[in-house]
Amino acid sequence: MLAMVIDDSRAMRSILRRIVTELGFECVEAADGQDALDKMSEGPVPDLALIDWNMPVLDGLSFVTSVRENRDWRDVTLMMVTTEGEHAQIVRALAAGAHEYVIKPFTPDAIQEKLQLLGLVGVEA
Amino acid sequence: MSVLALAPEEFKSLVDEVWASLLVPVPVDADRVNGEAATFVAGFVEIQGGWVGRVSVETTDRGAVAIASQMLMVPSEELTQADLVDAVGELANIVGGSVKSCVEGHSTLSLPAVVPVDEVGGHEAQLEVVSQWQEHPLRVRVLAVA
Amino acid sequence: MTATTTATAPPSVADLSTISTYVESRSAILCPADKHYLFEARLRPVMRKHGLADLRELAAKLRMNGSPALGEDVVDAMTTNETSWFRDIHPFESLRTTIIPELMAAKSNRSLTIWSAASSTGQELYSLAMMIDLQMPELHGWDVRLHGTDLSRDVIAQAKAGRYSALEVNRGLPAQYLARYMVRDGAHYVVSEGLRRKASWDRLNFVAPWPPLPRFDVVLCRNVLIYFDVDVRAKIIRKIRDTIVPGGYLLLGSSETSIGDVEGFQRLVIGRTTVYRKEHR
Repeated sequence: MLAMVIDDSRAMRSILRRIVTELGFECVEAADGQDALDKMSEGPVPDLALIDWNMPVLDGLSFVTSVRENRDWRDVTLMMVTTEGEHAQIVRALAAGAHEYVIKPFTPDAIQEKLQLLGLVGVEA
Repeated sequence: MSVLALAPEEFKSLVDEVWASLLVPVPVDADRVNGEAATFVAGFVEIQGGWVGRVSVETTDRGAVAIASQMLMVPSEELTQADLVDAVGELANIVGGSVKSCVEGHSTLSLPAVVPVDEVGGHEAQLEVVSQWQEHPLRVRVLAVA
Repeated sequence: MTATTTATAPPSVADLSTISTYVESRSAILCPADKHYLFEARLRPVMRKHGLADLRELAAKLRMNGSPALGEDVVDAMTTNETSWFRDIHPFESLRTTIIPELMAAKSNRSLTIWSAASSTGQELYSLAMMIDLQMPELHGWDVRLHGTDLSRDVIAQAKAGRYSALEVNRGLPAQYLARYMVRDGAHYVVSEGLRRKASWDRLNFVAPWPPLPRFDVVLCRNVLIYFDVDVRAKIIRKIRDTIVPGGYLLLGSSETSIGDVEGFQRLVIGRTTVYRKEHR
C-alpha cells in the first residue's frame, strides 16, 4: 500500500511519514496540492493521501476537489490532516469528497485508529 | 463583530496539547522566560476575520535547533536554516489554527513566517503561555492588532 | 507538617509500597512493583496540585491519612485509563449487526438499556449513542437508555459534560460523526445536547457498595477487569451478571478472553467478538 503525505512543512511530512511507515505503508511526499497532483499523474497512484489544508500553490481542499473529479483516482482514500478545526471546515472537506479528517495536533494513535476505521489498517480481534 | 472566544486556561490547555503531541519529554510550566542573554526567534501566523491578530511561538536559536532536530529526527549538526524555519513555522501553524478555530465566524490563517522575536510587531499580548522544554524556554503569545 | 526532606530525593521502597497499598485498598486495582515506575508521571499533577515536592512527601501525607481529597486524587490518577471512540470497532459491529437486532426481536416493551461499566471519559457510550442514532433507524421510537459509570469523579464529570479536546476527538471518531454530533465550544468539542440527554452517569467503585442500577440488556465492561486479581474479578462479574436480564449480553475487552469459573453465561463468538449471553434459568 502506498501513502502520499501532502504538507508544506517538511517537519510535519517527516512525522507523518514515520507514522504511516510504521503502519506498513510505502510513502511518498508532496509539498503542496499541485505537487501532489503532478506526482499522481506521473504515478504510481497512492492508496491513501494525507492532506494538509493550508499550503502554497494549491491548497488541500482544492486538491481533494481535483482528485474527486478524476475517475481514475476514485479509489484513493483522502484524509485531511490539518489545523483547520472549525465545524464548518470539516463539513466543507467532507462535502468536497474527503473520507476522513484528523485535526492537528494529533497523536500517532489517532492516525492509526482513523486508518482502521477506513479499513486500511487491521484491528486486532 | 466577531470576537476571540478563548479563556486563558483554555488557551493553556490547547498549547499544552500541542507540546504533548510533538515534543518528548513533555515541556513543563515555567513562571518566566529564561535565557535573557540568548537571541529569540518567533514563528507566527496571522488570523484575518472578525478578530485580527497574530499567534507567535517563540524560543531561543538553540531551542529552535532542538525542536527541528526532534520533529525531523535529524541530528542537529545536519539541520539547515530552512529546517529551523520549517519546524518553528509549523508549530505556529498548529497553535495558530487551534486559536483560529475559537474565533467566531469565518476567518483565515496565513502561512507561517519566522522572524527575530522583536519583529513580531508592536501588538498587545492578549494571551501568553510560558513553558520550559529541557533547557529551552518556550513562549506562545496571542497578539491582537491594537 | 512534613519533615524537612532533601529536594527531589528518590522515594524509598517503603514510600512506593505505601502508595500502592493505598490505591489497592481503595480500588482493589493492583499496583505491583513493576508498575511503580508509573507513579512519578501519573502522580506529578496531583503532587503539584497539593503542593507536594515528590513521592516521599506524598507517601508521608498518605500515611497520615489526613486528606481525603488527596487520597481521592491519587486513586483517580492511578486508575484512569485511556480510551478512544469506537475502540476496537468489532464489538460495535457485533452490537449493530447481531446483538441489538436479536434483543429487539425478543423484546415486547420497546426499551433497550445499555451500561458502559468502566466508561472512562464517556467515549464508549457516546460512540454507541451516535451509532444507534445514525445507523439503526429501526430503534427510533424505542426507549433507549444509556448508562455510564466509572470510579473516578473527574472522569465522570467530563463524560457528563461530553466535552473533548482536539486530541481526544481525533482518537477514532469518524469525521461524519464529528460533523454531525459535535459542536465547537472554544477550544473544545461538545457532544450535541440531544445525545447527552440519552445518557446518564454515576460514580461506581466495583469493590465498594454499588448504587442502585436498573436491569440491563447489554453491559460493556472492557479493559478494566484485567487490573483486578482473579477472585475479585470473578466477584465483580457475578455482580454484573445479576444486573443483566436473561438473554442479555456482557462484552469484555478484546484481550480478556475468559470469565473464569463464573456460571450463568453462555460464551459466543459473533463476528470477531467474544460475548457472554446470560442464560435463561
